Amino acid sequence: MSSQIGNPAVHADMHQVHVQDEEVRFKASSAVNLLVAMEQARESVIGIGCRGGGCGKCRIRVLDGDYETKRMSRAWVTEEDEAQGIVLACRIFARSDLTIIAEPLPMAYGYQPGRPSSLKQAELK
Amino acid sequence: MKKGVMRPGHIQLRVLDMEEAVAHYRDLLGLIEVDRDDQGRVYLKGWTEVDKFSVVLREADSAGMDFVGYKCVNEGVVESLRQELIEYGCKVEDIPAGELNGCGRRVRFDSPTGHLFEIYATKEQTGKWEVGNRNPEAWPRNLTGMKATRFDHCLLYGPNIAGTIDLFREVLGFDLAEQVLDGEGTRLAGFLTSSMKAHDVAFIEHPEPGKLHHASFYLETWEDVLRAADLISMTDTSIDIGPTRHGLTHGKTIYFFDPSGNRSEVFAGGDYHYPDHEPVTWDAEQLGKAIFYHDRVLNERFLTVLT
Repeated sequence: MSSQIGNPAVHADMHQVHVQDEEVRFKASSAVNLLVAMEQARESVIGIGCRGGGCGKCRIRVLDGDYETKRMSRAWVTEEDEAQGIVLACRIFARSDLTIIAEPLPMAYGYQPGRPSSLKQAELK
Repeated sequence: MKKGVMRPGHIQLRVLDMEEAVAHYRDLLGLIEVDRDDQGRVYLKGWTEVDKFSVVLREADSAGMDFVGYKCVNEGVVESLRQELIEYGCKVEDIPAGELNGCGRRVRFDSPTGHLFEIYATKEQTGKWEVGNRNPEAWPRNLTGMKATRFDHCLLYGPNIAGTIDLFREVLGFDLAEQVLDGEGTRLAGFLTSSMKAHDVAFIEHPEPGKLHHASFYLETWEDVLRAADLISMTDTSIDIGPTRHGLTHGKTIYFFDPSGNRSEVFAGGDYHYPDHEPVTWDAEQLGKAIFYHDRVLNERFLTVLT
């Protein structure tokens, strides 16, 4: 399937998003990311942060359905997470109807209270 | 007490997609792209800045700030501050000249809040972009986007801001221009300056180390801030809040996000600071007004959305 991300010339499809355990459904165009689709539907079941894959506030788990992704911060979604359907809603684009559930992390991976700071901790990797 | 640190000189930001990031910093903010290196990093500057670059973008798996560097008046200052940083207890790393294109040796050091900082004294001076310093015209006619004039400061979040603020005041000679105190007198936020500006760096207490709240760029007028807001809408750029005014520093501002989620600010105006000024204090119960002077209510996103 050719990517529809950032390609307005491609026809956008509409998909239904069902939020597990909530009486919430909203429509998501395949041309906008899932978080913006939720905002446009005036729903608030997913946390709204930077909308750019960096801050982790919109972390969700996709329980069912197909989607395309853009790169998202590994501080919030590891490769193992992503393999299990954990993603940032602002970086996925619906390719079918979806069933999702919010899966927020209170603090980024690697956060350890009281750990002394050091150059090593912040190595430029 | 001033110890020879002059100004914020550069910030290296991590971005998830370089070309999207360049579109944000160059085409929307209006910074000038000045170089790219063999690591793929992109170098930019505001048009009024005399040094070669002030913003470095690095593509990575996460967003956030790698480091922010402060320019000192000469290499002697860098050498003596390097020794003071070691004696203070910082881990210090020497970065050789040329690691950043056009920049001399840098001294990198860690901090209690988990951020990496640098001091340096030598960087290629290419002059104000397109106007120079001999009979200069008022402004270059071929600027784009918001026409940001300079990288101004950053706001950093981390634990133990008391430690990092002490480091900046005692070792680097920054002054505390403004602060937020809670009922017990604990400092929740500190705004520090190495110049007459209201802030050259700011810190807010937060449990996660090493976090970036925003990188800020200076505009000339309130009208420019409103025009920036128009451009944010025209480009469908993720907005945070504004245009509005801060109580703290009284700058006129708008916040938005780069395509990797790093928060940008453009602002105009703001207070000034002399070394004999007592710090301006905001009480924590007035925090809403201190941060958003018009709404007088904090939004959750401003406090918790970080990279």
